[in-house]
Amino acid sequence: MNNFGNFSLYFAHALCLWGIVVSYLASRKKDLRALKSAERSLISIFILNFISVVALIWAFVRDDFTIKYVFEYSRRAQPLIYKITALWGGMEGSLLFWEFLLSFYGVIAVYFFRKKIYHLLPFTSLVIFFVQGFFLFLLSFKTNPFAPLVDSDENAVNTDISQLIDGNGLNPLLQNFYMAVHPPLLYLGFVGFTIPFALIISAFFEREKDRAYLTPLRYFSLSSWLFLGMGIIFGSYWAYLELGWGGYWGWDPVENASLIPFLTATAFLHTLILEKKKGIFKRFNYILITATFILSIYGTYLTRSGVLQSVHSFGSEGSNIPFYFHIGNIFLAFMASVIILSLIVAATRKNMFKSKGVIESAFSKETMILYGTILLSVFAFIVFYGVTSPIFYKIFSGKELYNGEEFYNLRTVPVSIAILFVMSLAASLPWGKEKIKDLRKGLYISSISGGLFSVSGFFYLFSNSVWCEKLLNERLIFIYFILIFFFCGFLLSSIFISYLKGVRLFKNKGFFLSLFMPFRKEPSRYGGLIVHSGVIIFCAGVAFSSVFQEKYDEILKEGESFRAGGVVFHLSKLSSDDLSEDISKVNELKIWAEVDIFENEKYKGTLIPMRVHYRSTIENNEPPSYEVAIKSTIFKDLYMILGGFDLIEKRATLTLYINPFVAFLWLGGLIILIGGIFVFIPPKREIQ
Amino acid sequence: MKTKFVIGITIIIGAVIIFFLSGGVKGAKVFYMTPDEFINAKFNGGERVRLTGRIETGSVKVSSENQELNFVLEDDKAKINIHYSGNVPESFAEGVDIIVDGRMGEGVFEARDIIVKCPSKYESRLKEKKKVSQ
Repeated sequence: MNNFGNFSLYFAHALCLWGIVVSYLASRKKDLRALKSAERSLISIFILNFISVVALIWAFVRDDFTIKYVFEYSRRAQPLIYKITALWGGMEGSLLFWEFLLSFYGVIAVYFFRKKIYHLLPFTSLVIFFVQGFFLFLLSFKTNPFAPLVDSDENAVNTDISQLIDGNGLNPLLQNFYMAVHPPLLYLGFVGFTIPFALIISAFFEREKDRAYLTPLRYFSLSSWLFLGMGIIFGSYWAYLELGWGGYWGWDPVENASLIPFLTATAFLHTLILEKKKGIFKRFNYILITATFILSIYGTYLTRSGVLQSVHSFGSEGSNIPFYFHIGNIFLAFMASVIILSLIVAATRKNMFKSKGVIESAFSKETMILYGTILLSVFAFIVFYGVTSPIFYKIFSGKELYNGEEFYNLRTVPVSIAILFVMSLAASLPWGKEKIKDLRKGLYISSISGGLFSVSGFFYLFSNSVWCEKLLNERLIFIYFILIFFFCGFLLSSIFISYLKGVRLFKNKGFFLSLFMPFRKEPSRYGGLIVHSGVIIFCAGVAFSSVFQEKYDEILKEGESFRAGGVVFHLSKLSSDDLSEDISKVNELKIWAEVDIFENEKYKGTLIPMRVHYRSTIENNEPPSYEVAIKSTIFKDLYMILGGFDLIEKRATLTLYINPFVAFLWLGGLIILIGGIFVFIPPKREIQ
Repeated sequence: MKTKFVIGITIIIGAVIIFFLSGGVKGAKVFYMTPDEFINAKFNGGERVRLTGRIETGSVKVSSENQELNFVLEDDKAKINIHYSGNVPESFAEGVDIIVDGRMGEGVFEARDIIVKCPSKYESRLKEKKKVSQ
């Protein structure tokens, strides 16, 4: 079975090379037989990759430790579900999974394109084959997931010995539901941008005049955007639940790598609206989707090539491997070739960039989209600079730069505020040359609502003495808060007014139907409004939870209690599993504290923060990993970690975080995703 | 007029980018350093740095009342006295590799943050870190 999976990889790689040849012929000579062959190659590659993935999963399920990858990321006592998700627990498997998803998208593209844009398929599939060829090359010759486990003398471990040993096991942090679904979502997003990129390159290469290709372009980008967004939110939620530092976003390079393409893709989806509507912003679109694709490859490069882990390890793969064969350098070569390809296509097809229209007014939705796009790109650039500059610093000055939370917050917060401003205006401004006069009433109402939000927000902030003190010390943050309140009120009421206008158009359909009709008739527009209202709620959640987080460290004996933020925490019990039990028989051993919460003398529930020993933590002599306890309400999260514990003296060190309005952040994220799904629904007339 | 308008906006935004990135806003660059590099760099205080090193065996002193922590961070060549107030991180132990974030005070390095384990999402990264520091 292993050989089968491995052979499939090599065979798929060979098919890729064949695919490049036939799809080029199909594009240049308009040879239908060649095109059919390219199609069949895409489908065959998908089947071959599927076989490889199944073979690897099967090896995990069987505990086949003759494979190095299985040995490193699984163990016998690991629950079945985490044996399967261990497929993407490390680099080799992740790349295989990535390639598998790409081949899946390739098949979807074949069927999707047949309807209207069949003539664009040849060059699109050429680009897809090219990208697949890169990943299959890595998988076949560089990061082969089926590579055998070798002993210290470099001899492959045989089956008899492999039955006696046990693997290292998946990192306990990754044994969590959200972490099981986070990477597939993220990869579906990352990989998905290959199709829009390939399509736009193909459209330019073939000098496509018809704008019909913009519709599939939009759907493919939108679905990838949605997956990527879901992946990012699930990832943050995982970090919040598992990492135990009270936060959800640490500006870690791994996180940033997924944020950068998400931002450029967001900008792209906006400029694409204008290209579809008016035939403008073609240059923006070309640049943004190419950038998004390259940045998602860059993200994989950063997180998977070892360049960031420690800058020391840059090119430290071993001296017997030639320079050009280092995984980082293969990635760089691939990215460089993609950039060169897109530059050549752009340079030789300049007339494709000609705008069909102009921006007619400085106070219109178009202008705001332009500003928003620029601001989103600035945001993306700041994050890109933040993750990339340490690499260059190391190379040129030998110093190791650290870009932490402060670096990013200082720069991205003002940009975000500006984005909210542009978003608010965009919601109430008209398209094109339409007179602003007609909208004056809406603007007044929104401004009044914004003002009311600011005033009530002002009083709300100052009703809390801790917050009040913090804001008086940091005036700038205070101003930001007032602005956020204003935009919140302004944007939400503008959105509501737009929605009401939509509803009024369908008055004759009856009350209930008219509430839903706008989403049916113009799903992208009203779905967009939902997304924007989610964004402002999300931002409010971020602002509150990051600025007003409170942290308490307390050492308690069983029966003692402490008070924080008007809540009493009573340590009623500290207990544990039988810690002398043999860890190789069970997956985990737990130590936990039971902390009762009393608010206004009333019992409100129990927090049970835990520490868990896994086999890996015991063998490596590491402390047990953290299992956070969270009590969540809409106003605040009580987030508790069991730090130290003394089971004999019955004493525990408890760290408590009070995170206000975190729920808004998850709620906002959810609204953004729901709105995104609405945008995805085809409007009524396109179905007919 | 419209093109001029667009170009103007682009220039303004470009200027904003350069302003942000050139350190036009407060907040100096923070670097990772080993104790040896830190001493040779002759910082006279003020600059925030991230020291990477090992906790010297036998150097850790904890006062139980107000959770004050004193220890020595070392590499093969140099040693630095560190002071930290707050909860002692759980995996904090003698001989362990850590990152200390803070700035030099009077004769002692004032830590504002101690990172014992790399907060990375992937195990392979931890291994990598260990390998490098050995």
